[in-house]
Amino acid sequence: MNHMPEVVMPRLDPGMQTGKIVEWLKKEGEQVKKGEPILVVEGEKTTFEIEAPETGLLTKIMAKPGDDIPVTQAIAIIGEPSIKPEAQPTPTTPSQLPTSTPAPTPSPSRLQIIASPAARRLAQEQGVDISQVTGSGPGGRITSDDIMAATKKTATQTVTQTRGPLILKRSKLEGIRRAVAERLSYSARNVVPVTITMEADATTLVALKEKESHIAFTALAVRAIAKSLEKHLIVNSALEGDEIVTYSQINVALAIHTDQGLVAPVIQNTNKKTLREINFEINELAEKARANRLTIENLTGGTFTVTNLGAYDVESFAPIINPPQCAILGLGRIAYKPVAVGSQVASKPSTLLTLVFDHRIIDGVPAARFLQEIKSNLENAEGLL
Amino acid sequence: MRELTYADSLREALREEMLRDPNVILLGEEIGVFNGVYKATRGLLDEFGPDRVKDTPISEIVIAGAAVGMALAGLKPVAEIMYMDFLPICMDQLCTQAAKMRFMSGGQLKVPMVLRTQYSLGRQHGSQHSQFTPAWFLQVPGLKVVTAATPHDAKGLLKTAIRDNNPVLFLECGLLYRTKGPVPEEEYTIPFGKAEVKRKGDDVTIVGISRAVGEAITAATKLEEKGISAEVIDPRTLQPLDIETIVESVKRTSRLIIACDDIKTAGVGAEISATVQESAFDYLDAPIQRVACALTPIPFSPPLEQMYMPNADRIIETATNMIGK
Repeated sequence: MNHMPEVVMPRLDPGMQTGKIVEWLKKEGEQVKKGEPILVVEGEKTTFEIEAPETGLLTKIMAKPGDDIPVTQAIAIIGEPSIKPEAQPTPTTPSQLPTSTPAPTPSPSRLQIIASPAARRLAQEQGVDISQVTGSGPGGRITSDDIMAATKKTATQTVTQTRGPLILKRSKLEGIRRAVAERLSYSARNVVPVTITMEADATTLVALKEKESHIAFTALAVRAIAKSLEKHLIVNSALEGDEIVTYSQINVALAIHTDQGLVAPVIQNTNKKTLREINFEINELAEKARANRLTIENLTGGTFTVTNLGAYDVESFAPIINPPQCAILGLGRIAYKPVAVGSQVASKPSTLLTLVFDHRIIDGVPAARFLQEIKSNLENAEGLL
Repeated sequence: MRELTYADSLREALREEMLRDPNVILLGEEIGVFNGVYKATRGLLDEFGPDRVKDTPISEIVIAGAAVGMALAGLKPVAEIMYMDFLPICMDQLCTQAAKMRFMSGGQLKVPMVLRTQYSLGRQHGSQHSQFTPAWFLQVPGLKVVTAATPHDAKGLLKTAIRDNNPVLFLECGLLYRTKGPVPEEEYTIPFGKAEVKRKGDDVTIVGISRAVGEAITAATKLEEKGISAEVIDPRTLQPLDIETIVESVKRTSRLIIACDDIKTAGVGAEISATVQESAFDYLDAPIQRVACALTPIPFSPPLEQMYMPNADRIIETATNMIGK
């Protein structure tokens, strides 16, 4: 564990390379609380307040307003809470006092331990904590013999030591994985999500798909969404600072899974495009995503996101909103289901549409009307052609 | 079992293969009338006549070039180059022509020739008549490289070399010609690409090349008195190299020393070390060590040359430092 947590320039957008410091909300030497905004950063489209990752003393600020800082680079250091408690002029109320936790004993890092590759392998296989082993090799190097000796010692002890499960590999949280983690954590912390679900009759969709087999369901859904957004522009909004910005341009983003992680490339001016153009563009974006060739243009400017897990037999799911957007649509699988038609039971293809929206921006009724519009567009699929 | 010298063992291999195959022809400097500088061809001119045992002019280009031509024409030449130091003179014939022809002709041509040569480190022959440079030839695809460490191996490996349909560089050691060892009377050959474990051990693997095999065995015997159990492996052919046997051993002992009379820099030990760590990194308890020669011309002065040469004491010191005993 790090004694001195660093504040780093966060990645606020998958395409973000650098961020500009707008202003510091705290001064060097000030106490900060975990979660409290300490500075303002300008990202690709908007400004964000960055919160303190830990409670403590803002011991050092390493970038000044106006500086353009690469993402993940450290911009400040937060030190131990209350380093000099006696220096505090007046006693503060207990709730304002940072909780004083005992300093954790630093565990020596992998590199500080001098152990042979063979010893490291054996230690892991045998579940031996290598930091507890004394090396007998030249220069104090821990060798496989030392690990074997330690195994025998452990075996004779009466209580078996608990240990974590064997590790296959450790990989750094970086690249797309890190961008996804940061973006979605931000969403989970800040957005007020509400989920609504509707069933749509997919009879005409399935019929259309039989005629036009090269058109993907996702393309039909994107077209239905774009048409619906035109009528319900309030959903095509974003929260920027204390302003709700409603866009006239409709840019539907599509979540695509790649080996590197999740990306959401954008179909620009979606409502101005034909179904065939959308279908072609989706294929093109998917190919670029898999080849890791998406440009910043491909990845920015989205005003609404759609994500489809239908191909993986998912019935329905509530996705996380892609900030600063206002809503996201999750598509489930299309399947034949028994439905009551009058007093008879019939079998019809249907699908579940799940809309998650940010209640800070819109309310339940406009969101439901928007979803009804999508449902209606999908149930009259010929109109999407 | 009867004992033969290394030179007599080579002679026996040549003679047996000449009797077995009339296409086997010997050529080289002083190999006929003079019976060979190292006596490996003693009596063969008398027995087989001048058509099959050819004294050549003092020209390594002629020896190697003629051998390539003979091989292409269907004979099985065994050419002798008196010192390994002279191989650069016939580099084109050996490396550019002989080694490549089979591949460049799509298998239509064969070059079944053996180039025998020796290195004389430790015999006060000076900088230009002592070098052991096997690594130079490990970068030549199409060329097999053989190192014989004992009379037994010398005979078995040379017979395999002569029967091979590809060019083989057969490396002998001047200091070993008069050493004796058991050699079976019955027919035998030794396959290429199969290392021999000369001595079993648990604490450290010592790969020895040519003369260094004997030094490694001496070192292992003395290390045993110190309570260190050393395994000694002779790859016997460097191309092809039996890396599996070495890796299997290192996985048990977790330590590796490569002893060779070549120059340490970019030498045989460097190649074996790099290859072993690719497969056995997680089994190593110590960095792989090389016992080889310094990057300097070989000194003529006998005490300096003795200091320059790898020997059992240096192997012992290296092993002890590695284990920390």
